[in-house]
Amino acid sequence: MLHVTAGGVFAGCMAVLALMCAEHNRFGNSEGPGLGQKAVFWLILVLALPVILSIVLTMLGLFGTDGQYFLLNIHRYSALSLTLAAIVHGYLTIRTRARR
Amino acid sequence: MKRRILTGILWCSALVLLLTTGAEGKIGDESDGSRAGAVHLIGLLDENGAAVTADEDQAQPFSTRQTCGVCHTYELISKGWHFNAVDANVSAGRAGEPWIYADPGTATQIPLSHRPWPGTFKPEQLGLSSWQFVKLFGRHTPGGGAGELDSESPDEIMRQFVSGKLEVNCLSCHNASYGQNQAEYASQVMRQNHRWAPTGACEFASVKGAAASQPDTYDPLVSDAIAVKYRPGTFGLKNRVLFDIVREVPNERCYFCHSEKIITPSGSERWAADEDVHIAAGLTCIDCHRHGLDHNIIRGYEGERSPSHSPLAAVFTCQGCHLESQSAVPMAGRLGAPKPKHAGIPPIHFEKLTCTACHSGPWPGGKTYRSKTSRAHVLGTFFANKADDALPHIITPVYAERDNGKITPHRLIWPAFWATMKDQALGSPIELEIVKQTVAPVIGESPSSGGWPSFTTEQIAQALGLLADRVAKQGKPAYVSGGKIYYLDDSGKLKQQKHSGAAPCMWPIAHNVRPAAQSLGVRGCKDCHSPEAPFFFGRVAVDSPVVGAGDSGRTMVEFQHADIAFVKAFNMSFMFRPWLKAVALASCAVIAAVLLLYGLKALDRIARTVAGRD
Repeated sequence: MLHVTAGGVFAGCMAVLALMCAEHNRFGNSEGPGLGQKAVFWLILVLALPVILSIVLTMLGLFGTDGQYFLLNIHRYSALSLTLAAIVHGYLTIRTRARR
Repeated sequence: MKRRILTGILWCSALVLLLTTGAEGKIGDESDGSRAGAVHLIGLLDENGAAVTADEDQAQPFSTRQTCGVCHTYELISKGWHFNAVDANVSAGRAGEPWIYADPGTATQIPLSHRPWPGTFKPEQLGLSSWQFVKLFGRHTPGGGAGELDSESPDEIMRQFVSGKLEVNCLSCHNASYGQNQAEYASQVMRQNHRWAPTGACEFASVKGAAASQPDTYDPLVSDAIAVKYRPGTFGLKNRVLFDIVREVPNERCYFCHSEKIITPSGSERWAADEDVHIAAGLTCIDCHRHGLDHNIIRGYEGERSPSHSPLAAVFTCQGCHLESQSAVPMAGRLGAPKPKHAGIPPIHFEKLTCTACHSGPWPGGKTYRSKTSRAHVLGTFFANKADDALPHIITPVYAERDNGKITPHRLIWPAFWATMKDQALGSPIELEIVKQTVAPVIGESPSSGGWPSFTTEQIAQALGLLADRVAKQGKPAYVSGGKIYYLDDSGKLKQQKHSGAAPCMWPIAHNVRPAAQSLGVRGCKDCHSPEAPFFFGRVAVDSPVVGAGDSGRTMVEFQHADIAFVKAFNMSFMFRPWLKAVALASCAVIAAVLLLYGLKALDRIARTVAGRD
């Protein structure tokens, strides 16, 4: 139940994050974080879509059992990838700040 | 030397021949593959193997063991599921409906079974011999089992000599004639006419008289106090009789023992309720509940393969027909079984629930219903009590967790019986004869409806006082009812407390299956996941004869080993689910828009770079 509640909060926060940080992480922007951090940021945004969408689609009554398992797997592996990307992003951020 | 070798070979051959004599089946044991039924134009044999003929002065009843046994191996058939409850070596499998001894006169309703099903008691624990068991319950059996056991009591041995053995009655199931009268069979068994019961129930004979009224010296070969009359024209050429025998048992044969009547606030008329959806679709009981010569019928529940050792047990389950099974060859879709889409149902439901949780039994209401069943309420006989309040009180549906961890709908009975207790531990039930002699005078008259008598705590205390001397060796007497035990403390005051020994007896149900459009969840998640949903928060009635027992019932979730606070909170969260979906979809839209915008910007940049324009 906590997971579901936090999921709604997570989705909202990801949308806000996208709006607030997209310009800052634009590749053409010379200010802002390094290339690696920017790339991981966009990867996080890209992965957030299947993570959120896959689980919302299971709630809509569109998919049968086979589809439910498929969406569950998408949610599982994209969430795992998103977590790994977030860890890498965190590491790069900490490293950049440490260098400064 | 050569002669010795030859002699040895001869002896060995003879030994092998002797040991394998009878190993080959009889002509009717194995089908030759023809789907055309065999015509049963056969002679009748009595229990001694003598031919029953038309011109006898004193017609004898025919014996199924002898008559059917000519072509079918009776000894193997009689080990089948319907007959092997008394065999302690047979795996009990999933709990099924027990026999229920109910007596308003002693405020008793107690589940009995020869199989070690949870919550049931062995008939011997109540002092019931196999003879007495057959007297009480043989009416709704197809014979065999306890009916063929020899009693150890000298009195009962004499009665068994008069009544005969209650053989497996093949006609109970396999006689397709509309004249097969199971109500008459029940009547014959109640009269202790065991030897005569199959004959009396069939369409071409009648039996007059009762073995119960005959002295111990009654000889059926000499006396005509119990008379058999065969319908004129029954015996044809060579004294053969034409039976309408079928391999595929008609539903009506099963219904005699396996019917149910749900008593709802809106009524309980049969015409107002639908049959099982499989029956309505044209299937028969035996399309799923199959067996071979061994008569080890497939019961059709998940995990049956392990106790039954039937290779087809997994195939004849809900999943076996409706979904892909574990078999090497695809078996789904058989008998026209549609594959369910289960759209929108998260797969966790299939780990936590059985198919029957959503598809079987009556649609759950705010309170449970009462149910009457054939075997518990003697339905279909001449002496059934039609009152809705007649004992025993069976409660349904109760959504409870089974031993495999899945929630399943059950029928439930709150046992009420007199037992002994020692040091707060409940012992065995007190023998029925002792209870009848001691308690019945205290309770007095029972209501004509056959329901509970008006039973006060003062009466309980009085009865316990009277029982104390009779059961002093086994411990203190106690009365179990409504989930509690009542007993007298050392000062003689009546005490009552909840006790695990008074827990209800439950057995899973699978029928009647409702159509998909009436399954739980068809109207969305809120069918079960709402603060008032009966699946979790329905009230399970606590049945007790004790006046002022004051139990408003239990909540369904108590039977599911779940934390009620968590379930309440989880169900309440579904009120916000539409908001969650809206927020999630809106967030996806925003993220997708941002990705699209900056993606297009990046594409624009790439295109300019490639084109050499910066």
